[in-house]
Amino acid sequence: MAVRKKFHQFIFPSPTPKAIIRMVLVALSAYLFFGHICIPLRIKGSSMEPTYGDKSINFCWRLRYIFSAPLQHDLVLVRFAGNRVMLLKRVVALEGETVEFRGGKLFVDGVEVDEPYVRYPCNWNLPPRRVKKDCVYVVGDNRNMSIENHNFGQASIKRIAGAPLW
Amino acid sequence: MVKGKHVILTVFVVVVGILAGVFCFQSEGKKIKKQFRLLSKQASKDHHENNFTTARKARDISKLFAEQCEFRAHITSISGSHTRQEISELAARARLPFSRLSIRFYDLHIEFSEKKTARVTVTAQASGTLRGGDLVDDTLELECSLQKHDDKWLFTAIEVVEVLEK
Repeated sequence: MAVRKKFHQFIFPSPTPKAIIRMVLVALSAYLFFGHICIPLRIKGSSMEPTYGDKSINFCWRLRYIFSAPLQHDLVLVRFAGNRVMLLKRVVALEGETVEFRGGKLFVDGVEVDEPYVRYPCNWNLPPRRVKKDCVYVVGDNRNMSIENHNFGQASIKRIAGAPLW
Repeated sequence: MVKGKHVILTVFVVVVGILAGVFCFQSEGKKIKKQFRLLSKQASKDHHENNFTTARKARDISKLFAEQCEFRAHITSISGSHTRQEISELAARARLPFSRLSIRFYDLHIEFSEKKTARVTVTAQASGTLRGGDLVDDTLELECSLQKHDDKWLFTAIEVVEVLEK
């Protein structure tokens, strides 16, 4: 009974100055954490299938690339003007490397890249192009669509907002 | 006592000045946000829209733009300088294939560069259904220039920012 009362008091505290300060601190921490550090995401679309399905839930971990740069095969979130809408993509090439698609196969610097995460058939052809300085080349895992309908390409590292939490 | 009154009066004047400054600055930002809200409202379309409403909306969209507005986009057909009349026609043509269309703006960053000139970076999301039933979902980053004419902020330039460069 005492435990239940304590639990009730913890969840619905009396409006004492201490409880109000605690509530303000909790609200502020939640705002900072979920608004700027670990942003909730609802994935929309099928460009990352089967790794991430349409309408699945995840978080953008903003601290992922504070002390390091994205590497090949990393999953990243590319921001637009802000953090409300982001693109979830996979890094396939880094700055200075040459990217090419031949018969659906990815080639980086002329060497075919093994991509176990690509499960669906792909027939893309893209002439070679060099990734610019301070940029990474990102593509979705689902390439079972025409190359024109898939949103991919090189993005500035400054646009990498973070990585999905899982 | 007289000295104390002076201090209180000075503090009061400073506080009122700061509040007035903040209010004036916000009000310009709010006016710009209102223009984006209006653009979103006028550009969006539902299943029940009749021809009269379509024509009125196309005309109302053009009223949000200056007499000449510059479009810079990778879609060459709309790039260039357009008059209000041309914008009205472009808007009508762009909305025609849709049975339902929703345009939303997120993450508005407003910079007041010169007097009566503002630069806005924004994420624009268009989602809708074509008359044939196909779904459309596209997100763009836009850099917009607005100028103040008769207490109204009008679009003078819109540039599509290439987030992913193929």
